[in-house]
Amino acid sequence: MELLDNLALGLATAATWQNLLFCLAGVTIGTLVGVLPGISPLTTVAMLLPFTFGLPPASAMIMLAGIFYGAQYGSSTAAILVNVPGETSSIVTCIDGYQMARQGRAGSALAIAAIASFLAGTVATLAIALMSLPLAALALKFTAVETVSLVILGLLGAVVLAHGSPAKAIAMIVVGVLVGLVGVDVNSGAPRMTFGIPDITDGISFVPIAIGLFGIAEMIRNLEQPQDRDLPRMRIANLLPTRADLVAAFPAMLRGTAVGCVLGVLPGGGAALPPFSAYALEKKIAADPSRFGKGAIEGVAAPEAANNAGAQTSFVPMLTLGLPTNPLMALMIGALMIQGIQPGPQVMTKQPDLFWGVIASMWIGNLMLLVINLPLIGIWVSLLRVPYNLLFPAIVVFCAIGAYSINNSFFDVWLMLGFGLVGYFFLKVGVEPAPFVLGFVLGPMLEENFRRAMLISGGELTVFIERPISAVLLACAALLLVSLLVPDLRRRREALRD
Amino acid sequence: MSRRIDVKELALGVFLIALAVVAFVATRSLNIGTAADMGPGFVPRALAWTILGFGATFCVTALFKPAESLPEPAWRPLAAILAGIAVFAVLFATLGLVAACIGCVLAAGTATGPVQWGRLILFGPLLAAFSSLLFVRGLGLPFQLWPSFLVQFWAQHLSQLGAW
Repeated sequence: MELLDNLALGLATAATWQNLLFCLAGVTIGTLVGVLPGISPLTTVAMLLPFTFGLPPASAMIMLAGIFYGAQYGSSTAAILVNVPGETSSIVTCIDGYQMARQGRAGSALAIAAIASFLAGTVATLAIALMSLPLAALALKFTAVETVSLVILGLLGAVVLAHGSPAKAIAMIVVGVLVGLVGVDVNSGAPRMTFGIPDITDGISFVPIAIGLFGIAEMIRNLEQPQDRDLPRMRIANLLPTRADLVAAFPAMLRGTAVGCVLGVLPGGGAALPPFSAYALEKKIAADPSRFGKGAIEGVAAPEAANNAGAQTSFVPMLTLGLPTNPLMALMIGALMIQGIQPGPQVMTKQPDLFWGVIASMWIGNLMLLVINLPLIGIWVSLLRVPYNLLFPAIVVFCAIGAYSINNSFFDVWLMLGFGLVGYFFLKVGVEPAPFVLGFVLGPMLEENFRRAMLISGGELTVFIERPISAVLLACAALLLVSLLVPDLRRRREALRD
Repeated sequence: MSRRIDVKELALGVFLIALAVVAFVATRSLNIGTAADMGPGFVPRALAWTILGFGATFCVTALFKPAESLPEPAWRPLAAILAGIAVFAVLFATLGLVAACIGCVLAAGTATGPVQWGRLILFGPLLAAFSSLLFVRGLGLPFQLWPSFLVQFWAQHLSQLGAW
């Protein structure tokens, strides 16, 4: 019953005119950047943070969340019609979606993708509502000791699921934590590693770092490649899927949703893992795996359901534990902090309308996506004709304005430039910026709680294994590390990447 | 036997070592304290040692890996985009948002060739107008739009017009 009360409260918050409007704005902008390759939802959220200053917290989060799942959705449109994934989340959708489009079944593929996303969104909303209460109740029992173990587990999870060498990812986390500690030490008041620069005495601001590492660095890499794009010449007839397609796709949607819900909660899951895993599962259990890659409807339905479900459930650790599982959630934490809200289990008890409002808005937003996208598909496709060589200067300008406006600081613009360079270096030497960003965001929390835990225990590290919850969390972390060393699992992880 | 150096890993290792050295220098005067009562320098120094360890390890392992060269950076987009940001920062601080948008578009627009100057010259003011309307009119952010000498000039001009 409590669950229904909570959802009712959420719906009441999300369904006010103002919030409906911001939800619509979010999913529309999200679809836009999702369709356009070369601009990620992360950059968009960072650029749009200035828009949220004057908004109430619930409206701000509803809009930013809408951008995230709207982008997942929009990118599948580009994947199916032009064989260009708008975002990493829809790389697998290209495989069978584009084949369906070439066979003249583009309408059916688009409709199935839309329905799969909506179904997944609905189930995921319920799953979030069910998962959140026990998680937050557990988190309220946490002391400094448990918090340290939880953060360590979260950071190591990001390593296991990230691409590439685990050792390099762990190194990047440590670097991130170190950079996160720049600024005045809360315990002693001593400035640390600030080099006398007044702009960073309160710490290095996160938004310029995120825009630099992700937005700017990736833009430079995109520009390395030739900018030719195949423009869609096909006509999209018949946006209604056939009954046979629906019957074939429905079980795949459900399986994809389940995969997405679980993988979305895991730290470091990112946008690529749920759809990849769902596709792999479909191929494995299919009666005739050879159909995949030649326009199998399940190959569209399952990944699309998985990426939407994953996008939504990735909010759970962020909202209940204050633990971001991917860089975008780290940015959301930044957005909440701008609003003066410290993310964590208290959000749910102190601001239930914010928490449940955001969750309910996801369901409403998915409904909006279904309604606005299918009829407007022509408009989205024509967007792909916008030349990238006019788009990217505009993105540079908006990134710079976004970085500046967080603190009205020119220093932050230069910081964005510096981290753009660092991000490009990371790309060139083959390390991912995501572990760095998670370490950066969680660093201060990790240090503060670690110092407090050490103070309580009198400097004894054994306290972390004497407390049961902490011991379980650390055991999970150890298990993750061991799994990296098992050759078979490692090989499967590599295979997933290719 | 041919060279077996993974230059990518070596570059990362050198980067990490340099970073650790910077951290050591920056934290040299901070109190370390004890494990039970840590000073502000304890955790940063512990992290710097860890980073140093990782950096040194990568430098060594790089020597025993299959040769891999550092991919050539794309200098043109790199320089153009970074210059675009720098131009924006400088012009925004001195001449205001409109000049910053126009300058940034022109600088960043050279990232791919052949540069379509005509398009960029038209697009800059368009983007400046859009940004001004959106951020200053729409969101009410306190940005300087025009160079201050222009504002003064206009103010004088308009007051003369008014007196006239």
